[in-house]
Amino acid sequence: MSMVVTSPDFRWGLKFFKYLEIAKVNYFTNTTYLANFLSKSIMVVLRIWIFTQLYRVTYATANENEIGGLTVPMVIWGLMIAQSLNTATRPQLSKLIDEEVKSGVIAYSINRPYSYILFHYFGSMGRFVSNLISNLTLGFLAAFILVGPISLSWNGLLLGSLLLFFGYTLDFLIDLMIGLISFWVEDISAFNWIYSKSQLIFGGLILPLSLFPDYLRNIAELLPFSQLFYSGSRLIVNFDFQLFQKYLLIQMAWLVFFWLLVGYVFSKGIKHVSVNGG
Amino acid sequence: MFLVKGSNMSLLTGVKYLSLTWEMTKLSILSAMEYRMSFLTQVIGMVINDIGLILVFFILFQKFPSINGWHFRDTMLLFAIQTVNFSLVMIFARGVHRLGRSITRGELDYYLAFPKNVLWHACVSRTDISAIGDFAFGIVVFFLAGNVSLEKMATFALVSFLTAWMLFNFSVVVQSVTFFVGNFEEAAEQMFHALLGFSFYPQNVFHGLLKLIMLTVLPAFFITTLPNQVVQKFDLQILLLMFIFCIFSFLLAIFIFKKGLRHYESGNLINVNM
Amino acid sequence: MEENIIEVKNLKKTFKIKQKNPGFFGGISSVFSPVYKTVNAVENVSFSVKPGELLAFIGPNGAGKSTTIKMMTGILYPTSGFIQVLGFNPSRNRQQLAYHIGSVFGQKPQLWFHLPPMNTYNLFSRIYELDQKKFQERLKFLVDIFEISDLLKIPVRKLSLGQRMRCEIVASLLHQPKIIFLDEPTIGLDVIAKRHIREVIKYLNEEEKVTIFLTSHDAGDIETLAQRTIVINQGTMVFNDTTEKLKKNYIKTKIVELVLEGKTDDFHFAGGKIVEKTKYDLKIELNTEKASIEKLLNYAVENFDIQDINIFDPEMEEIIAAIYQEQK
Repeated sequence: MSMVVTSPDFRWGLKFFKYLEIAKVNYFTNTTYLANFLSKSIMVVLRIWIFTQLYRVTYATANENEIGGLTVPMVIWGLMIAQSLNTATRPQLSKLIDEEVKSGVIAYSINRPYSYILFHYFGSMGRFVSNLISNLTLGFLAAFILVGPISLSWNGLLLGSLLLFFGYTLDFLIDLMIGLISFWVEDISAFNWIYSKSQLIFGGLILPLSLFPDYLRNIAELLPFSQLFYSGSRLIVNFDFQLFQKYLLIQMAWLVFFWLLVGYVFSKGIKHVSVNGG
Repeated sequence: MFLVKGSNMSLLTGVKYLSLTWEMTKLSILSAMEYRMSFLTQVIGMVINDIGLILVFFILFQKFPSINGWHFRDTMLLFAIQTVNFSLVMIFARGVHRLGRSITRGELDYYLAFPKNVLWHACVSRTDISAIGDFAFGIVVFFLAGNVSLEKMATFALVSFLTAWMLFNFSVVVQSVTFFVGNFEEAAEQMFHALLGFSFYPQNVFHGLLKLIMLTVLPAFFITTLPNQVVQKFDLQILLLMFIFCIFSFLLAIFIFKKGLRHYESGNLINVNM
Repeated sequence: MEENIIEVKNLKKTFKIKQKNPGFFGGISSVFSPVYKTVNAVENVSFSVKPGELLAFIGPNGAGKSTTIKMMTGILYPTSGFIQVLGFNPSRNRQQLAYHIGSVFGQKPQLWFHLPPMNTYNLFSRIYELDQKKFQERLKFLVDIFEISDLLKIPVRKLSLGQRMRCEIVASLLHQPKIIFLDEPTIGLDVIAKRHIREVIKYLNEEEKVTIFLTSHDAGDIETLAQRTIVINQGTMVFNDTTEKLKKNYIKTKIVELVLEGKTDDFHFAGGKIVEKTKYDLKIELNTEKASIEKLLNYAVENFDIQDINIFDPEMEEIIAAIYQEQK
């Protein structure tokens, strides 16, 4: 007899609390080892410290005060936000899924009374938020000391954060997608490398797209990688409504694309699991 | 090479250890070859990975051809040294990055049962196959960076070896912290990445307190800045300085590891507080 | 009188465990003012072993068995006390000692998983610095007695558990150790594989005069192999005498489980106490001093239709409880 009890669809409230609980458990587990936990944030601080020295010298050599619409402090604050978010998504979800598939646990976890995808979405969110709080706190202090404050607008903060939230979701979908590849492929690390390097190149984690040569920037803006954490952080440090519309459009297109793709791949993958008997 | 003072440090023992290191690395590669497809994806994947990283700086130098007199070619040389020394550690002493894990999970037991130096044994018995890709990439980039002469090649080789050794020493130190505080695996890993992090950027932009950090806690100055200078323009004094730092950090690493080993708990009870 | 090959006096090992408060702030407070709890894993253990002995070292999980063995092989530093193995102080002369002892930890494989055993054997011959000719002779000898000649070229991952264990033991015997530490050598093996391994252990002990120090959960291992048994519980030694005596005094029972065709109600057998009874299923605790298994089975076969029979040894915990009871 099946032990799985499917709750009726109208019990949305209960469902929400279920996923909230999943997020909470992940949040607290992630904060258990403080040294491990803080070391990520310290990395963010160190990186933006390096960036500060690098871009000060770069701007000075070029003898410019503002390049591509951004001053040095704006560049640094933007990099701080992008780095904080990107670092907070680690360890990658795809690695967890890969382990689940290899160990065969997946056969059980897809049969639990919750949506497998939502379970991971909220679980990752819990870990993400706990990392993010400490990254942003230390990152904010560091940026403040290194380059001083910059003026922010409410529009920028609000709409930029919205893009960052969508960006997080987009990253989740791509990461999940790579994890699901492990249904078919023995070793997904090559996919992981390619994804994280594409983020590094086109995601504005080291080099903001505003400092790209024009032709390259135009291409990079259309790719999903810049729509993870670059677009939002760019708008927070210097808001531009036209840019917001453009980024939002590109982001939505990629979100829909990966959402459909993940749905398709997941349904195929589940069949694969049951054929193989887990 | 990885001998501990006090034991019979003769040339013969050194040679024995070197040949055993080679033997074990061969076995690891043989072992990885059992899965040919995965072997290839890892090596090729790593090359693509490295190309991706250097591409960021290619783009940067498109916009700014010279940063304080530093050109893309200099960055290429930096990447060449860095990928080669990193790959040497990962090919011959991959285990060093798992020391923390081995300590908390009691995996050192296995190596302690052999009549050989534990640190050496734990480190050499693993190989990261993808590092072969790093190695190849580094060599190619070195030649692409131009101005290759026989003298420069020799310096490059020597400097890669020395800095690989320093990277090894650094990892031993941070991973050994696990002996004393329990769980330090991820922090140690992050510190290693922080050290490597310095090696992507033009070395002439660093100053002030950050430079002080590069000279002490995260000795990137010795592992990245100096070797780059020496390969660009040979300087015996710099080389000597690097050598001294290498020996110093090696002795420090061994000292801390040996001290830590006395606290080793062999995974018997440590799991209780997990 | 023969000199002792192992000498352990007042051995003690304590572990410090950091107490952690849950949650984020708990984590912070335990970084700044850690609270430790001390656990005595081994307390005041003393014993000695003579050359050529086959000794069992038993006790329930967490009793301190492994901790003691690890101190004897130099893996762990003792907190206090004296150990001498083959004249060496294990923690000071670990490497020299390692040339003369061998160890098999049942759950920690030493063979390279993806490669055939032969590759590991060759590597070990280099690590132990064996003379190549002697190594080949030794290997041939071991391959014969362990019957693994067909397995040498097969990657370890493709071997069965029993085959793998045989290959594991060979790996730790290549350098002709004078003492072998076997930690749970038969764990997870089937009856035939167990018997095979026990036979070889016995053979090595009798023919090669190797001293064997064995830990096991399996009362069968101990009964068939060991001349002497040391029982350890909660870090202290509770028994140190011949296995014969242990058996006679404390392992007096066997549990026999019978599944019968007919009703179990009229089952009456002197010397056996029924400890569990359902409609068709019986568990009998048999006192082996008063009645033999043979007798019980004869009775059962004559009077009932038997569907299934299982025979168990009493649990380690029961043996220890019995020892305690007598000491009081």
